[in-house]
Amino acid sequence: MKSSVTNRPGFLSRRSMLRGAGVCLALPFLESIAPRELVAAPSGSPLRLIYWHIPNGILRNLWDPSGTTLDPATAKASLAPLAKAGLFPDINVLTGVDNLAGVPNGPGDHASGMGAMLTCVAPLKSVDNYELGISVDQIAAKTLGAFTPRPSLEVGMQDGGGSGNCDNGYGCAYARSLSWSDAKTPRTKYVDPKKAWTWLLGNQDTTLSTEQKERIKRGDKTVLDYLVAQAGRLSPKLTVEDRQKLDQYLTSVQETEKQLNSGVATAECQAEVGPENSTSYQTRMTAMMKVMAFAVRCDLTRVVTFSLGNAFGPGPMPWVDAEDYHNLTHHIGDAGNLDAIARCISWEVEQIAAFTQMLKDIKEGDKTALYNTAFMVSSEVGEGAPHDHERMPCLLAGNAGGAIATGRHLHYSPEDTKARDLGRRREEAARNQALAIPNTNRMANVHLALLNAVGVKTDTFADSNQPIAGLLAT
Amino acid sequence: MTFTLAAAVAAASGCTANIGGGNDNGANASGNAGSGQSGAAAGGTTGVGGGGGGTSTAPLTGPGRVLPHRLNIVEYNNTVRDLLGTTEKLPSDFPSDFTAFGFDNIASALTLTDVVLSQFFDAAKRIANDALKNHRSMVLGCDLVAGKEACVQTALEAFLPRAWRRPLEAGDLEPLVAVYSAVKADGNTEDEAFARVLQSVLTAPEFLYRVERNSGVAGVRDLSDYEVASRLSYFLWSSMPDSELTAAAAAGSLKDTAALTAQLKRMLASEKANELVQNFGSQWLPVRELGSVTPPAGFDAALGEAMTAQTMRLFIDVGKGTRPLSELFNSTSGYVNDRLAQHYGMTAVGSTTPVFTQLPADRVGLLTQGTFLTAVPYTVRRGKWILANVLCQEPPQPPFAPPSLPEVPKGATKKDQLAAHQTEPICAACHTLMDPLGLALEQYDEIGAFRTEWNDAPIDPSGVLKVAEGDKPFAGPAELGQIIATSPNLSSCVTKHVFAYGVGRGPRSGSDFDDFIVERVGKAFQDSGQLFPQLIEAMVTSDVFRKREDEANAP
Repeated sequence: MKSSVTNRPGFLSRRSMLRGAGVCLALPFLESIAPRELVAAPSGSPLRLIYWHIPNGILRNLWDPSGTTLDPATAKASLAPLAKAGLFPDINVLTGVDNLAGVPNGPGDHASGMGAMLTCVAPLKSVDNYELGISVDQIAAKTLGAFTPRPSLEVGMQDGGGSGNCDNGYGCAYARSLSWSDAKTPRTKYVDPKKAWTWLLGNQDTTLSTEQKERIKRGDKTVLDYLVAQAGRLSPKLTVEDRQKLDQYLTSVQETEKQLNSGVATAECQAEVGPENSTSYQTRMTAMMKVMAFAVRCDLTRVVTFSLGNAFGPGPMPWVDAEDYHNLTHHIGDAGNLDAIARCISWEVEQIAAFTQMLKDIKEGDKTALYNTAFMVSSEVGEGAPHDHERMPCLLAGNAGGAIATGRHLHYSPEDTKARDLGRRREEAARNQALAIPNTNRMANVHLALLNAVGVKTDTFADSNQPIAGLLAT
Repeated sequence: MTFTLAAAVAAASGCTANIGGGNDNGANASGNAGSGQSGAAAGGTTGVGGGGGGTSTAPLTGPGRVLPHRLNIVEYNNTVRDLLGTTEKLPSDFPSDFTAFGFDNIASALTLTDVVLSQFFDAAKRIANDALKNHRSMVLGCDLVAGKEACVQTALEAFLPRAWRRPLEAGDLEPLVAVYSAVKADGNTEDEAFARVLQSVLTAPEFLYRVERNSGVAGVRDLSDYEVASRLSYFLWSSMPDSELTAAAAAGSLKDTAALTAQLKRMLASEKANELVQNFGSQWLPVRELGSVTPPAGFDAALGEAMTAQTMRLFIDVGKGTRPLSELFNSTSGYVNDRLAQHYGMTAVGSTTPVFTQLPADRVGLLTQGTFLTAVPYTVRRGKWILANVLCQEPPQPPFAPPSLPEVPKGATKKDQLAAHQTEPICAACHTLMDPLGLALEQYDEIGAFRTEWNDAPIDPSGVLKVAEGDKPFAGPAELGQIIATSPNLSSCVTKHVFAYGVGRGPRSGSDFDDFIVERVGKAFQDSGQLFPQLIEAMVTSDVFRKREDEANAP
């Protein structure tokens, strides 16, 4: 391997290269070709990719549609809020998609599945030695992030901290971070809507002249160039593993340098006042949706990840008369618990519907921001009680600028069902065997299709083997 | 070692191994096991003593290493304060630090992304400007306009070693002077150009990270005096070394245990050592977690502050060594104000600030404090928290699709309901340990208010604590607190937490070296009568704090 401090956007360890056949082999290729050209819908509007995580999976019998066209009249309870809001024409429901990379080694499904949701890589079981992979949103950010003030936005409802949020030997970062810069670097997320709003706008002094702004930019570049050189001087004095950590620094400096030439928020957007933080989960939820919609409307970023709770979150949901949601899924046979879980999920989908509507209310030419977005919802497990990683929730909203036709139910089946049997064994060896089976109903194929839909030209992501069939207009 | 109980349970029940048919051992051994680099791939969750499957393959007989440690938020703010005299801080929208082993100062969890770096970059710009404006003498002793680059060089000769916590080296200055020249030549003022130099220093890797270098020769070496000074200072003060500690490092005296101990005692006596007490105490005990709970009915900010004060004031006494640590669990007195007295059903103490006073018979130690009871409001989780954080015997997470608890008819007790946990061996293995501890605290509701009934049934708080040395029956929370206060597991467990916090990595599973350190430091702590400063001293003077393993340079 070359000197570890190089121009690479992300470090890829030998370990993760070796873990799981084909799991990571795509990365160097992707990183080298990721184009930084303007990516836009045929209309000229920007394309966006948004991911949204719901904890503890779904109840399939209350979720999975029948037929191939979404019909509000036959919507099941969990998706009824979307039907009621008149949004069925704007969404697709994919069923039968597996994400077997989320299968842990022994217990640990929540953290493991959370780590795998957007990476499709099986996390290394460790409390502090993280090994995962770059997440799909960060790949998109390399392309879509070049022209906005922020390359990507990571937000969520739970911070974690202290004990209780990690999972059977899987580190807290797996349970909390959907978004990973590279195999070793989980991205922190904002859980305070006010902070996220402030950060999105950055420190723009609107009173400066263009000449002054340019001079400041040149000064910034002088300092950042120095930092790159300084990292290069320090690197040879460190152990190999320490150099890997310094790579996070170098990559971050380089990313910051790239953003010097990205756009800034308009004066109108700068002047808008963001929502306050709140101790009420529901109030904060609404505020966070406003932040994400603001980011889209003002084109502050085109890549967003949001988690409605950490893995096995978000805790008690008294506003739908539910105790700790995760606990409920562990006692699913108790009288009333299934109903309580169903209420939790319906509430989550109400939020999804509300956010979808917010995107739809943003006009872009004769279309809407929703039309120009690919918005996907999934979870760390398929269903909460069995903790499975097959038949995952996979809800898509938006048309990605016309690349995706909506209003459909797309059902997938594994070519070889043995993969699911192997996945249910929760052993590393069995999981890797499962991943080696070239089924096409894998989550990485959905992510690949979405990357393509929003204009990221790549033919592979993680362990993908083709864009998921039938999703993209041909 | 003290993992005997959890290991025995796991072996007897298949508590971890049989669930889902998985096997925790071997197959995914951490790639760093041999090098002893970072913390162990230990089982359990954030607790440092998790009983889950360890995954190392080779015995770890050396002191290992600590990864480059990115300053966390507290450390950064304290460091710029001590370096520059500034009151500027990281912005409120700085993303919160990741935690591991229950703490936010673990090197491997302190990662960096473009979001974080751009915040450091902007903060350094702001702090540099503030320093030049308001604390000029801390960074500049000459006249920039007259002295030009020579003045920049002179200023950096004094400033850089403090900022980077090491002596000046060849090649340090030239690139920074070049930054000055370039910015100045671009039509900026002298101050603007020097501010860019300061920004560069404050965003450089050797400021943002605590770095220990590789000598290139494989094997164990003593840490340099400067490396020890940095470790010590961030352990005790969450900040950079002061001039006296730096002078001791420059004189080469910190390799001497007596001199090191003298520095330690001086530093513990400083007000800055509050950082250790606050940052360790509020994370080991669920004080910070109390701040993030969704407020239940009957809970408000004033009550939360009173609870926090009760817990932290007692821990401050423990931190100073004026009370043994065991008193956290068996003290019958505590710091209470009127709001908390009302909550506990006591007569008013006549003060809005906490007063140290005798508590009612049902309030003995941490387990009966509002902080813990509110931050951990559920029966089984309370038991699990005690096992994980106080006894370091954390059981694993629940199995998949467990059999359901029965519905309880009116008049049935929580104990009746949880009895279902005992009928299935797969549940009983872990719940036998957790449930009695949680049930002992059933007389305290989700905000710690006392009650005698649940579901119209009287509460029986008696039970049995199962620990390695045998079954310990108790009549209620007071006796449970006393058992914990006198358990040898307590000393050992606190030692593991201090190890993680102080060294910046957790004790590695399967490391003979780390086991030995925990045993020896834990014994010194126990022998001192559980005086916290003695624990700190034993940790600082141990080899894990003063040595590291280097590797041969790659060809």
